[in-house]
Amino acid sequence: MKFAAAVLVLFVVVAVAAPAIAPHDPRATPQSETQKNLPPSGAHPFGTDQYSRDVLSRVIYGARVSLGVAVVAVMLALTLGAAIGAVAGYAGGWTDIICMRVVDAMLSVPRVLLLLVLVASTGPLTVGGIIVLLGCTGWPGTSRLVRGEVRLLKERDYVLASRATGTPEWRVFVLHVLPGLVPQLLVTGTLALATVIPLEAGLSFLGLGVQPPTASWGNIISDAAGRPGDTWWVVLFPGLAIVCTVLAVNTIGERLRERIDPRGRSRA
Amino acid sequence: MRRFLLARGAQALAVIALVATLAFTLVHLAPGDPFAASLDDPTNTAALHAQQMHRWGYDQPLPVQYLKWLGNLARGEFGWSHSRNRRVADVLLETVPRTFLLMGAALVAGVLAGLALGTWQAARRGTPAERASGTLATAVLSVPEFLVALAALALPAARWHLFPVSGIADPAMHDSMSAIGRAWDVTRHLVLPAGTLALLTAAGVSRYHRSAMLAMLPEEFVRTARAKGAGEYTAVVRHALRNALGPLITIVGLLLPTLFGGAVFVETIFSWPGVGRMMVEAVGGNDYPLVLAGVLVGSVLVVLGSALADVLSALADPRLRIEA
Amino acid sequence: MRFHSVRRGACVMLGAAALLAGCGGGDGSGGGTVIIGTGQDPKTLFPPASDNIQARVVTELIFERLADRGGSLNTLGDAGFVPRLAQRWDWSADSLRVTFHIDPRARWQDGRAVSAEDVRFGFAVFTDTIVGARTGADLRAVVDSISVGDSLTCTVWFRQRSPERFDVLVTSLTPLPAHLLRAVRRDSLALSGFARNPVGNGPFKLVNWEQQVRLELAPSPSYAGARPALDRVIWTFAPDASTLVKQFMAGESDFLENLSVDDAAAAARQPNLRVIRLGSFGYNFLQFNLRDGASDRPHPLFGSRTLRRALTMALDRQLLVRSVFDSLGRVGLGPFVRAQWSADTTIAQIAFDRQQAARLLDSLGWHTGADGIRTRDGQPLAFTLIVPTSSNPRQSFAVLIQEQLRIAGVKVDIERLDGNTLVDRIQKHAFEAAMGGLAATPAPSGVKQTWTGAAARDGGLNYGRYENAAFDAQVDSAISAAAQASAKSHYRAAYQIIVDDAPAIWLYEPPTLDGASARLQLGTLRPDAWWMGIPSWSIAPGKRLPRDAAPAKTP
Repeated sequence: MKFAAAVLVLFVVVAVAAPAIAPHDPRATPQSETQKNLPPSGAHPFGTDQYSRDVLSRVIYGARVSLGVAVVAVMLALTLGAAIGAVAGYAGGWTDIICMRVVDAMLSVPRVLLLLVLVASTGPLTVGGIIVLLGCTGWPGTSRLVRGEVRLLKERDYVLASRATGTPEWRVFVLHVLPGLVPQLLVTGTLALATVIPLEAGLSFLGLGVQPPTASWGNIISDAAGRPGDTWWVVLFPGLAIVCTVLAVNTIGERLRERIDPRGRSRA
Repeated sequence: MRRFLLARGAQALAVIALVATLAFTLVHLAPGDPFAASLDDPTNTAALHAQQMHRWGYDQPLPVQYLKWLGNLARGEFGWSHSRNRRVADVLLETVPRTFLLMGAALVAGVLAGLALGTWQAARRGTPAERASGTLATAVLSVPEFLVALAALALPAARWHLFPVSGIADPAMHDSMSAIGRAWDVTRHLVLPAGTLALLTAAGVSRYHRSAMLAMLPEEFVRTARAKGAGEYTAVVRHALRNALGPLITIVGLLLPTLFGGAVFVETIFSWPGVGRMMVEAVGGNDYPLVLAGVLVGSVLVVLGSALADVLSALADPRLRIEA
Repeated sequence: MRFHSVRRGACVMLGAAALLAGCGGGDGSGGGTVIIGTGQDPKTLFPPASDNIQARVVTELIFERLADRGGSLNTLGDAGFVPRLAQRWDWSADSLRVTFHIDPRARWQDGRAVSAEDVRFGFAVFTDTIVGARTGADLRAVVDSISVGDSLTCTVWFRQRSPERFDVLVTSLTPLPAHLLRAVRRDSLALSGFARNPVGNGPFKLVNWEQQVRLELAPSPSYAGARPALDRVIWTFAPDASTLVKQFMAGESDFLENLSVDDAAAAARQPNLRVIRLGSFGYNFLQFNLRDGASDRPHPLFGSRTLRRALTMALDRQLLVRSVFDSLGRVGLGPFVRAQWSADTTIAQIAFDRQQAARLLDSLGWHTGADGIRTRDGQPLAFTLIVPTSSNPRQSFAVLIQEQLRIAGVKVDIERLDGNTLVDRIQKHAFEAAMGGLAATPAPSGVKQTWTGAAARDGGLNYGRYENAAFDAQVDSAISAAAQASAKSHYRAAYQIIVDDAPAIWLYEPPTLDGASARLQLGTLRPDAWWMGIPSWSIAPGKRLPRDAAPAKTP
């Protein structure tokens, strides 16, 4: 666990400090000569890609994009899911039924397909657009979880007591119910990160996610997907970055879950 | 029991109908009319465009279109694919079975491998080998599908020539092979794409199955079996396994959406001409009827799969019939 | 022939399977099977609607035209042409009429004899604006009408004595089976069953077509001419250029066009593959849409000639070409290729000059903002460039151009589409800028179909809708000039006008590097249409593979 946390912290630091750390401008193509497809060397520890760009710098800047997109998207999904789940749980009746059927519908479409359809409607997106897209397709699981908890907690003593004193419902929710949910949301969020990072990478690989020249780990790989044997360094290093990050996040998430919620209720 | 089946079936239909409605709304709210992207005619005059819109019913109000579309769906008429110049239904008839084949093979191989691995891990719990295999499984799960697919393509296919690089069948010789030959040809082409998906499925299944097995181990009947003198391994395998199979079916149901998502990447990289690759091409080509059809197929698959899983679970253990 | 040991085992197994199935066992009889990898599905095999190159390739093998260009590629007069469907032709005294005598042995693939009426019907369909054939405008401009004598004789009436009228007639018109198509509504022809199951009169017939997967041709038994040596020609489709290369390197395909320089070098290193370098007839460019989408309003950016010239100046085209093609590519000079007889390398080009480009942009009111991108009245100087994923060079150029223009203060967004989609979007004018490419023909008059005002209006290929009356006038003069010297000077004037107007940034003539398996005996490949040599391809006797032994599937 400690090792995993350390790895994650390392990646975050690298991402934040990218402009200071990266040896080259990730988009710079040489103006006077070509240096394409160079294997790893002293000048370019991760080699260069087919446009003569330094891969190490692109991977470092790519950390910003891939991690940033994933974190914000997950937070968006958690917030949306909690809000919708809370509303459904409190309101009950038709609101609840409709919300949960929509959740069922969204969960029954494979997420990649859903993203493909949305991209078909909107066309290629900015980084912000991708965050919104990922966030808006990730809330169903959380909402189901929150709704379940809200329904259970609705009848608890302290909730009834709060209502008896006349405090508005939403304050009851925020002050009393929400704190109880935070640990599980933390677990869900961490595990969701482990799904979203590869998802964003996959989308960018297909050309539907982050658009070049902005580097994301996914689209660095797609540039060299044609000849992974010949230019293996362009595929290997961003790939390793993804695997290490996701592994670290998974490990942390699993440990958190064991401590906070051993009965598995937070598996959304 | 019958009431449960009916209820579950009705629920599945309701979800599919909802998905269809949502997808229809989404696609038809997109900017520009979906049919404008379809006209092959470069001399696309306004009159011709209006004529075509009328012919396909796109000039009518949205609710009317929606009802017509539902009606068409019921008759099996999915519309016209403009990027492929043929009926969507024909495209689906070709691509869906190929994806079924891919996913089916991956599911069978992955579940069997995951079962075996999970069982072995439960039997050998606590040993260094088991811990190492656990970490390996988690590591495999952390690699995105497209990377695994790329690696599979790069080495065994392109470098070592063990398997074909792409496609579903040998373009030259498939038709003239015997039935066995043809089956073998498709199998050769299936190994890498299905293997990629199976690898990831196996890693996931083994993790769930291992915990399920471990949860079963202290149970009374296992102890009884051990007390009777059967070897410990046999006790684990026979008695715990049977009882741990219940959650397995549910897990397979849960895995279907992820498997389909993985299939999209694998089909693109290996040029496997299934629904996933069709979707990616349709999205790139703004072929809305085809995109809609693909979404429907994906969600029907998932809904039916999880409904089937629920039904099988309920048949196996009436205690597990969950309230909707 | 060298086999990897694993493949030898596989071949033995497959050979055994073939024997078990009662097929021949690679004993050298039969013509063999050739597999060609390609990125684009033809989408339709109806000749008038065959807009993408792949559709042309296949339809030109299934349908035979009156005559074909010979190896000399001389497009003036008729001396350089080889009789095909027509056995011979006679000119009238005033050279405005030519009478074709159709080969009495010619048959459609359903058995019916080819008649002169099919030529006239083909002309009617090609020139029909409802059908919207790509070559229709050209044909209409040159030919007035076609009349039928007896069933094997037809007469073509030309409008004028333009030097290339015979070339235009013969390459733009494909006779069509009137008996099958006359009853079909003109606006449904391209969507009809005939488009997926064509009945032609050429050396090959369609055996099987699984869209996006493969297309198979076999020699047509009803063809009157020499039977092709091969038993089967199969195209396999993969949307990704890199998959095609992997297939070719692994020996799963025998022929692949347009190898990149790196891939060609890798192929040359393998003893069972070879690389063929053809005279280049393609030219690639960054096409601007001078109008706003499909409307008639000028594009907010590219409607300005000065802006287009500034963007051209901001690009170091020599460096671009060197980066992608090393020493093998050549910078584009205009809407022509050096291999055409009208080419002129002395035309004044827009030189690479960053400072001048910056001055021009400043003068238009585009001032550099804090992020390095120029803005004017709150709008950034930005546009979207669409690129096909099926072409690696175009993708490479797009990325390099994006970076070079960013330095000049221009923001370029690259949208990657598959080949079919790109063509679709360009045809619908649904783009701002596109990495375009054209296959020029030996007849420089093709420029009328691709860059003139008429081509912008009547279903031609001028998708950017560049219109300049002076350019059109020079082109018309060039086409109607009687002597080649006078034609050349008119072409030069036309080229200078369009280069000055910069409706596109002329990027490169790609080195045409094709990859072929060493087992193929190809003869000479015509640089403008390599596929026309397929009927004479054969497999070297000692170099058969198991797929050559499998007999053609009987339809």
